Amino acid sequence: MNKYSDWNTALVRYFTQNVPYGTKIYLSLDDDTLKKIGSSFTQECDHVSWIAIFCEVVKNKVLRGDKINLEPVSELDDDTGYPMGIAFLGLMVLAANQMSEDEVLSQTNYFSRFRQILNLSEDGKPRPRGLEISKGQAPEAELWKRWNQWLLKQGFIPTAHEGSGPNKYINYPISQSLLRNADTDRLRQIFTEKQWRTRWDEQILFTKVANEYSKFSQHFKKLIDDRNRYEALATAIHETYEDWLENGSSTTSTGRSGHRQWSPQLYAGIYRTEDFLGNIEYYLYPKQQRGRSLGSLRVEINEKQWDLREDRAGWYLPIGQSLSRQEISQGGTYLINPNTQVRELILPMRDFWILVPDPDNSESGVYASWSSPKLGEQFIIVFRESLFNDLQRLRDENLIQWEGDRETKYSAFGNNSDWYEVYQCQILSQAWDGVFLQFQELKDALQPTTSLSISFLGGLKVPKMNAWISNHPPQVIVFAFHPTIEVKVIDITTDKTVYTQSLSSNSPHSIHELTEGSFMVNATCLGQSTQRIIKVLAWNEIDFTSFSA
Amino acid sequence: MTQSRQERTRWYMGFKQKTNKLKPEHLIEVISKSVQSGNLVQYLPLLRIEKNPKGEYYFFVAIESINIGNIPSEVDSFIKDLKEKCFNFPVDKRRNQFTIDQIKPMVGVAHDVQDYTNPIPYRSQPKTIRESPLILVPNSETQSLSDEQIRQFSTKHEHLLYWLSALGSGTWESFKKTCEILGLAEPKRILRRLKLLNHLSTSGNGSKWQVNPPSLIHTGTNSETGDRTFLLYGQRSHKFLQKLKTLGSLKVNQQPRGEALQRIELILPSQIRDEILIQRMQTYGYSINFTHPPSILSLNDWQNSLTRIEGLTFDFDLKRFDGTNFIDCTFQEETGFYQFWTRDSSPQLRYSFFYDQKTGSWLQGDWYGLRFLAILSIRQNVEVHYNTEAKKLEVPITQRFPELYESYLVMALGLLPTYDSHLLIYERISLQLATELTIKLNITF
Repeated sequence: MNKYSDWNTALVRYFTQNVPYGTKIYLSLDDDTLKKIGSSFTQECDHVSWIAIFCEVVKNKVLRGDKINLEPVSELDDDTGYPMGIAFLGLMVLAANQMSEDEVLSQTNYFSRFRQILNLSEDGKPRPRGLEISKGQAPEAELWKRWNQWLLKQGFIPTAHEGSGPNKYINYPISQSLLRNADTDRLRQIFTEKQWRTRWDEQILFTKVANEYSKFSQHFKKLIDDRNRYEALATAIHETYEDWLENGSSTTSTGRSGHRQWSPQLYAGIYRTEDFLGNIEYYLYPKQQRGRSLGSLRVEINEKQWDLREDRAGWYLPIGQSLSRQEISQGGTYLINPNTQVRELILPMRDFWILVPDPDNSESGVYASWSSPKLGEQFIIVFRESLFNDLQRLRDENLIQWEGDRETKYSAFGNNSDWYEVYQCQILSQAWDGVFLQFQELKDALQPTTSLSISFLGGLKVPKMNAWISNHPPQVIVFAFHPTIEVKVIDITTDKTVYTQSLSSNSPHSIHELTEGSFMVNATCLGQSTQRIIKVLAWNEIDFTSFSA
Repeated sequence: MTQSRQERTRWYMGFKQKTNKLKPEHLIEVISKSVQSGNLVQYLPLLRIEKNPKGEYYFFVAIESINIGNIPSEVDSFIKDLKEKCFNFPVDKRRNQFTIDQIKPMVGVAHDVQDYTNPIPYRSQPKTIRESPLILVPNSETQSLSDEQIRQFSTKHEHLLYWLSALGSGTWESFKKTCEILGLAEPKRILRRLKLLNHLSTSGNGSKWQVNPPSLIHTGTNSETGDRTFLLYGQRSHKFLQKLKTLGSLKVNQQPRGEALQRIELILPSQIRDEILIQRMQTYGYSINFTHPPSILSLNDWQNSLTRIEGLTFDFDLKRFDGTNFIDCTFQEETGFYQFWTRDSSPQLRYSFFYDQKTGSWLQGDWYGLRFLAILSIRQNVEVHYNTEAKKLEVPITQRFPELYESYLVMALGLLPTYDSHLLIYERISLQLATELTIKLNITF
């Protein structure tokens, strides 16, 4: 049986490996994820399920008699540097995900599920022994804070947070729960009813699913309505969809002891360059699979082989010749060699692409489908002509703006093409709910997913180290739909607050306290807050990685 | 048949609702889903709700139809279907039709139920015209600098290479921006000098750069000690140099006028063989190459390697190089070096290309290289002088060699040329190199 530390490492990797910096991380551990992780271990699971094995391993680690002891999982792993408590926290989320479709969220209900997983008998108290609140603090809250801190240091955005009232601490696992087991079953039923066999990407599938809103549980409806979780939810739905397609479109999960398979498909986005003559070219930009290590792969495009080489976390370098109008318009499927782990690279057929500037190097002039546009960021939309009415409607309502007047658009493939671009698009407002569009997926893709966002502007960034050079730090700009925000800067090494100020939103500010070191910038506005870590290095700290021969 | 958007008018129907019966956010949800499922988006673009709704609130459904008051049949059915739930209490039972100006004081500019009246301002930026790093304006001016100024320039260039090394590769825009941040003026010349010194290479059109891997080229051996001297070029960092120092000593010189980063030579004790150095540096995580001076390409081969420009449009004013200046001209397919200027009130230089009549093609390349081709094409005498004793090659500034050929000269010593009046002076050039180079360039000295 694999050790606790093996599961802990596998979980951290599953949720963070090949994930671009700046992504919100949800520790949304569910039965399907455990099957997938389990299938990556060399050991086979006979007779018992991976879920049972995982629960047993965690139980053995933290249970002393009928009392939970978190001490063995409260430090960092000596070998990996990962927080040791993640498998235990994952188990807490597993309990949340096993709650039934519309089960009321309460401490009693939650811990009842939690006890079932650990085979702990009820003792008349809501919290199990060892997890009692002491001095106003739940013991597991420290593990959640450590996980959040670790994610921030790696450049990710943590999402686990406490709630209020009696649900204060159980909100940590609840906030990580995306699809409950009942939701994935419901999704499979809908995929079967609708016979959705086109390999849509995450965004398109999300819109299709959201259109079936009335068929879902209250929990799932809440998830759909919560723009904060849009990207994570779209990924989770898509994983269920891929699994449904791979398992013969069955309406039920593959069984408790079955293997949940990794997707045999890679998906591609679009990478856009423009030369001095104004020639625009688009390339296939393959996306890595989250949490999975793949060996050397080659993609066959028009009878030519292209190696997949890593560009950055989450992405391979662009490949192939520049894409034709037909390829963008109709999408494409490209064979991968060897095909033992993944078989195909898919360029989805879409009506539009949103291309944002390079997050590592915004001055490069390159735009690609790296992420949804962030607040205040200017981006490019490449679209079929039929979408222009919807874009104009959004512009008329002051929700977005682009360069030129409402009629301004540029042909993407020269004359006689029905694909266009609009430049320097920016989201202006958060008030999207009452606007209706022909292409709902356009609204889903553009509507802001946050109301507060910290950006670092200018300065000299060392991309692959996600750091800035001292004497050339960036300015800090907090985008928000409110005129002022509270900004606090904490030196991570000393844990001291070095700067606190009320600043105007949406305009850049120089913070001279950002000298050499690592800092957490915290912005708060109307009860919401967001953080970003910034590292500032001396010239003699930056280095290069040698090219491989 | 549906009308185009321009033919339709937007107007509003108003209704009242009680919060305890249907909260504003649920009202939006219900109407939004019905509009989507009924495919009514073309008639019902949006919904506006009273600002700060309390126990009872007003909301307005926007309708786009042929004129105010005209309710498309699809919308009529939609309102009837949801009458009980949403539309039971019209604002005006007889004439329920409003314009945006009539409802604006009530709904404000936002359509949501929350108080989001502070949109993020749009940052209007002029669309940047992409300029090629290959377009240069010749500049023979030099200014005298103090030693301190030279040292400062040199350090900035050193930092630039550290940054480029960490990045590995990138675009011209990112290079230019970094020079600007570091306070290094004239980024096109900086890029050119880095290429002359073999620290980096660029794509044919100059739009992308890639820093070369760290490399050593042998420049001499001490006949007494057997210690070998190598010129270092390519990627570097402070840490890398520190590691290199553990194997040999580093000799550092400033470039003339601090116009590029310091020239570094590695003096390697005789007992350290190439393989040892390679292995030791690998243990520190660095791959280092030993290289040899490249063989010199013929001018013809170099010209054939230049990027050919296809699909060039002629909505520009053209100027042609006459041996000294660029003169207005009409293109008549004559071989020559041409500039393309925009036709507007403040003409801008957009491109510089060489036209080769023999092949009927436009060529893209480094500015001095194309000018050199033009000089040869008009049979201008290239006045190169070689001083055998001092081992100096002197080239008129106005007849500077193509970048590739100048790089052969610069890399002989790892030093940029010095200026003397109207001449570029390359030091310690062997007679063999000077002869071979001039032969390849079809010139004599």
